[in-house]
Amino acid sequence: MIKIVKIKGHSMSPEYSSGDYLFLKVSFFRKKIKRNMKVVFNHPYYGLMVKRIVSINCNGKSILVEGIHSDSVSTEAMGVIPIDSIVGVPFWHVRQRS
Amino acid sequence: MIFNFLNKIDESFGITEVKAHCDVPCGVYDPIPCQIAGMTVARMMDTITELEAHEVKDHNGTRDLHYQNKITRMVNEKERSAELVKHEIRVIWGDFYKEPQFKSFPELHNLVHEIMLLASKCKQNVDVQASRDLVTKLNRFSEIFWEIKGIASHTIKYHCKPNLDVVFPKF
Repeated sequence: MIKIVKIKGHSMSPEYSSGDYLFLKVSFFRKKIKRNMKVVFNHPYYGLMVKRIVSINCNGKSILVEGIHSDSVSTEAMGVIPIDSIVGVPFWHVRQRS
Repeated sequence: MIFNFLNKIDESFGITEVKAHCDVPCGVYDPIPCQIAGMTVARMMDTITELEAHEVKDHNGTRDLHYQNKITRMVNEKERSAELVKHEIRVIWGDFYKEPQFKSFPELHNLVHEIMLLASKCKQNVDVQASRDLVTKLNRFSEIFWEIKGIASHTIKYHCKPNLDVVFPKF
C-alpha cells in the first residue's frame, strides 16, 4: 500500500521543501525502521508530521525524531514517538522543480 | 511533469498535508549578500590602489587630511564587507547545510575555510588578487547552494565595477 502526502513547512529543508510530494510505503515497513530514516507519523499535538529518526529506544517500541533545519521543533518538544504512530516511510520524493 | 500531475490531483481531490514544522518562521538563506560584500571588497581594493597612485602622481604623495579621510573610509568599508562575508558564509554553512549536503559536496568544509582565510587576507592587506580569489570562491559556494536548492544558476558579469563574473540563480 502506498500513500501520497504533500509537505507543508521548512523543517526538513534543504532535503524536502514545502510543497514537495512524498510517496509513502504504509505497510510492512516497521521492522525496517532504522536511525536517520525519514518517517511520517501522527503527533498528538502537532498532527501529521515528517521528521528524521534520531534514535530508536531499547525496547524498539518508540523513537525520537528531529527536523533537518535548525529552526525545526526540537526533539525534546516532540517527545517520544510510539512506533505505532508511524504512518509510513517515504520511498519517492517529487520536488517542485523536478 | 509528475509534480504538475500531483498538483492537479491535489487541486481536485486534496492530498493530505504533512507538517515539517518549525519553531519560528524559517530563516531565509541566500548567498547573494555575501557575494555583493565580496565584490565590495574587490572594489575597495581597486579604489584604494587607485587613490594611492593618484596621490603619488598628482599630489607628490603629501597624503593630506582629505586623502586620509578618503582612505580611512575605503579601508573601513573593506573591513566591514570582508567581515560581512565571513558572517554570511558562517550562517549558511552552520545553519543551512546539514550532513546530506556535506556528503554530496565534500569540498564544502574546505571551501568555507578557504573563504574565511581569504576574507581575513583581504582585511589584513591591500591585495587585489586576494579579493578576486575571494569572489571566485564565493561563486563556487553560491553554485553549490543553488544546486542544493534545485535552482539553476548561471555566470554573468556583475553590473558594478570591477564587473567581475558572478554566479546568480536563474529566476
